[in-house]
Amino acid sequence: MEQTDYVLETKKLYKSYGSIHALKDINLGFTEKKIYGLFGRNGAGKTTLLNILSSRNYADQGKVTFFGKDIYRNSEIISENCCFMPEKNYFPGRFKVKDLLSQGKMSFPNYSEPYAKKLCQNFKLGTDRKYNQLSNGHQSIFRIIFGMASQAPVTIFDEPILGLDALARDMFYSELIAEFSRHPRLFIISTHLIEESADLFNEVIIMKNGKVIKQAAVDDLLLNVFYVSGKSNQVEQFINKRIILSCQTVNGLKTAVIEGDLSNEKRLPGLRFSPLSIQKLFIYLTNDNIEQELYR
Amino acid sequence: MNRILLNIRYKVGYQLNWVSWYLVIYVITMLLLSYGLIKTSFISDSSGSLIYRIWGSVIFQFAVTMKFKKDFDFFLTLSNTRNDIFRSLLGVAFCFSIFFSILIVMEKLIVDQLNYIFGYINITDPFHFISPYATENIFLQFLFFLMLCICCSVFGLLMGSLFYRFGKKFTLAFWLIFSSVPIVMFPLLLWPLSQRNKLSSFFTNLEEFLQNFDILVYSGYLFILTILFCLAAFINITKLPQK
Repeated sequence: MEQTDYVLETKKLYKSYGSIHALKDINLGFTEKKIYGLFGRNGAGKTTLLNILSSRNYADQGKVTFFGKDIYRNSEIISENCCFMPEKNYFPGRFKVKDLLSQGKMSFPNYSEPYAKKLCQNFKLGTDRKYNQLSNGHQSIFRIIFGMASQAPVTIFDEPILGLDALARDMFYSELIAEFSRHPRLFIISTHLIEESADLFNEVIIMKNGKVIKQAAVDDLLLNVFYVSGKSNQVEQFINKRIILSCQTVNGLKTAVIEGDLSNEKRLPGLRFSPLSIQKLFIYLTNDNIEQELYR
Repeated sequence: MNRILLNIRYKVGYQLNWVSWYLVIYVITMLLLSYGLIKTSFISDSSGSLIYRIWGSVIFQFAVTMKFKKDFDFFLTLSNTRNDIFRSLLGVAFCFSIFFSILIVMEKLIVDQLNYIFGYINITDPFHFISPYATENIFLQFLFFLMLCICCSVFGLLMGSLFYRFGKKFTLAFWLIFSSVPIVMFPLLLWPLSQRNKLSSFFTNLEEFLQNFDILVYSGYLFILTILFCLAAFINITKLPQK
């Protein structure tokens, strides 16, 4: 057995659906007691990756290990230690919420039904209602509650906040932090609401066209990315031979987004430097049109 | 093991709902037939007969186990391994097969008693050519029906898992084959009489062969079929990706 510091690790994962390459050469490591954010545009391969990590689906090539053990050869390892709440609804609709909540103990040794019931009260989710009578938002809340109460060492949410109102989303973020401090474990959460959830994550993974293009802490990602703006000729001189993520000129004023360590750089007068938000960085990294404009 | 028992308990719990409805419809139909409210050629015998066998439960078992998708998705969401899912669904099929087999054998005893009370003549079996009631040994009857129920359930499980894996392609292929049977049979009507006689004598021989069956041997055949279906379902389910 391989010795590894990672709870979950992927090596050279490939997955295709016909002619579509959903995942290409994915090499990732997830450490214990961290919250990971998984970002990517629609069709970037997030759900496929999460399905493979949780053993719901199989990779065409490559390996997924849990503490060094192959999860396909040792399927019980991932089933005992991983709770994956998918975006799709797989819970049977005719059951009452309370009955479904009581099923949690079937699978997860640490599952806490009292905690699940407490969360239902907090989120105002009626436990006597049938699952198929719940709105989309309430079904998302149910999946959040189920995943949180599972207290599985690896808890994965795929788009958990889909259809949630602002208050419910805020409650989820607060509850996630609280639960993480009570029972620190590995959370992997995919989401499109980057800006408002960015503070939750210890590390983020950005995917594009089936590949991982960044994996780092949010602060580290933003450390070396800047807006540079000023007169067009000055900005062009400064950004020459640098990694440019975006460039825009309006009325003779140019604004560029550049990547690189500027700590030892001499700041030219007349140029303004400002930091990027994680959402803006995501947009610049994943927008194919911006790239095309730059390389033209 | 504990997880499998919990899965079985859960699935048996909600499947009982289906079974209850099936039995209610069955009993109502039986009463309507008994009082002649529905006329059929089966009961037009002047002496009358209570012949309504609960054999339809075998087809019912098949249909229910084909509802594989929801169970598979739900059990996988509850972090069961595919091996657990297979064993759970097999366990459920086994439970219901025992239940229905007891019911079928009990029904025969009750109907015999009722026929005796009302002075009816019992027609041995509505299918005529397979006659598990040829023996009076209820243990052998139970064994036969148990094997028949399990075999159909496991076949349903196999079909359900194949539908899940191949989706529309399999559904299309299945129904094409199923519906093409009459189309294949149609040209037989155009055969010359001598050839048609050969065909009908083949079926007559088959009928005779089946009528002279040994209930134990037939249970053995069903057991072998069950093992084969089981193996195929196991191979398919343990490598089945979630859709």
